[in-house]
Amino acid sequence: MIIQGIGIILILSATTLCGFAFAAREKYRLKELGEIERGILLMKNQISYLGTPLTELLEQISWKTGGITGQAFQEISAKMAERQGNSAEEIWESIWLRLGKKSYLSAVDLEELLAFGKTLGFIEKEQREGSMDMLLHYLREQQESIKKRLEKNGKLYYSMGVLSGLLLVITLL
Amino acid sequence: MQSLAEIYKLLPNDIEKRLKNEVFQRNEQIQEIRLRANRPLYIKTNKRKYFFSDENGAFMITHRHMKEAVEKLGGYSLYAFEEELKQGYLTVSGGHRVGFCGRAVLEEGSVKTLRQVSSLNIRVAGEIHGCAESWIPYLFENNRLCHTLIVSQPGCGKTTLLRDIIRCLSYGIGCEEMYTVGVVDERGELAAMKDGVPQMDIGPCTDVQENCPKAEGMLFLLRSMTPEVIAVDELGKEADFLGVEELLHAGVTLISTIHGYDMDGIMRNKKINRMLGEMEKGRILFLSKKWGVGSVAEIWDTFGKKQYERRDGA
Repeated sequence: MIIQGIGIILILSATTLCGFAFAAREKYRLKELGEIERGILLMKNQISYLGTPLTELLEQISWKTGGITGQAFQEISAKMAERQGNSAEEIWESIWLRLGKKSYLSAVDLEELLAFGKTLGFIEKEQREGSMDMLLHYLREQQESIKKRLEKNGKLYYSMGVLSGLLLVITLL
Repeated sequence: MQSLAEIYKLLPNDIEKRLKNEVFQRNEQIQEIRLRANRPLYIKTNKRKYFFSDENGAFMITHRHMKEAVEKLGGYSLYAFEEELKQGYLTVSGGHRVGFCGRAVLEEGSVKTLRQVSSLNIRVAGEIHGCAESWIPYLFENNRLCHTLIVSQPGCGKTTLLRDIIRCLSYGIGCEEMYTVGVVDERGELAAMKDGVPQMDIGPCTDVQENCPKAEGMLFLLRSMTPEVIAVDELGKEADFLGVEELLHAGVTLISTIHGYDMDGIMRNKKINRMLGEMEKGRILFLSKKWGVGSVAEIWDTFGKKQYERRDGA
């Protein structure tokens, strides 16, 4: 009886935690996308109006952004300063591929970021700004859809966790 | 041997690796590294000129190398150097000058930028401590520092000599006192400033106005730093000479470089002639490659009198 009780509690808490984790994952992704958006916006303004070189610019932005974005910008800036790569794209890609694995970003988010890296440092103003706008558009769209999903399904994730636990317990009993 | 790590890291990785393994002779100094698409890597030192080769023969520069070199030299941010690209050169960390050649993009008849860079020339900035020391006494007349023009063809060491004259005056080497020197470093070659600190030794009493057109820079220094001497590299534009005129009227001593070959040649140049006419006391130093970079062949005063002439064996 006691063992059964412990089992029930364990199953219920595990499935509830899964529900929480699922909702939290979306929230963390939302936060990371928001930070990247902020970083790219700062980048756009600094490049368009001040023409600040990437090394200096990314370092400055890394102080103003948190989480994975701050870390990525910091590392990219350091690598660029040391000229540890044949192109900006190569450096941008290597850092995001490594840090992306530790983040909550989806594979598509990473793909978009890598595609943006291909145009980094371009001399043509229109091309440069166009690629930044495209990335910003994607980031905003994703954030919107996550927010909507969380609003709509946020409570559902928690209750699904508890209910699936209960279902498992009843089936096992 | 000069420290070349700074320059090598600006080149594509495979060129960097190869150059790092290159063995140079004792006292041999690289002066130029030239990259030309689909042609071999060219190196010029103070002792020889040659095409770089490895175990597979002459090392060929590909289009990819050119693209990567331009990206690295421009700090991956070519947009930040649009103005420099328009002029055809860029000064990188350490004061080294990189010349570009490629396809010009025109806008309303003038060059907007360069595309498809086909040739790159990295001119290694040479800092030769002491190369000016023996010439400092010639720059004085009755204990008064004269306006000085350093004249030569490209590649004879005008900038190197000018930098060392600045250093000597700033430290007071060969003079009775230290001079407050203002430097207008339009291309960043004289002082090679990095985060507000000169990377070259230009002396303790030197103020640098960097990245500023010469004419404006001279007047700016005149107003803000009250220099005794103002040094500028490569006077050429009409505006530069107008700036110099104001400077001469203000009683500041000018030390500058100019492209030229001999006294007759520079006297035929109206702008230079007019400027020399404005100078009360001046010295014109002609350099020659014959005795090595930065060696003075002749010294004239502004009245057309030869003060010094170097002869073979001197």
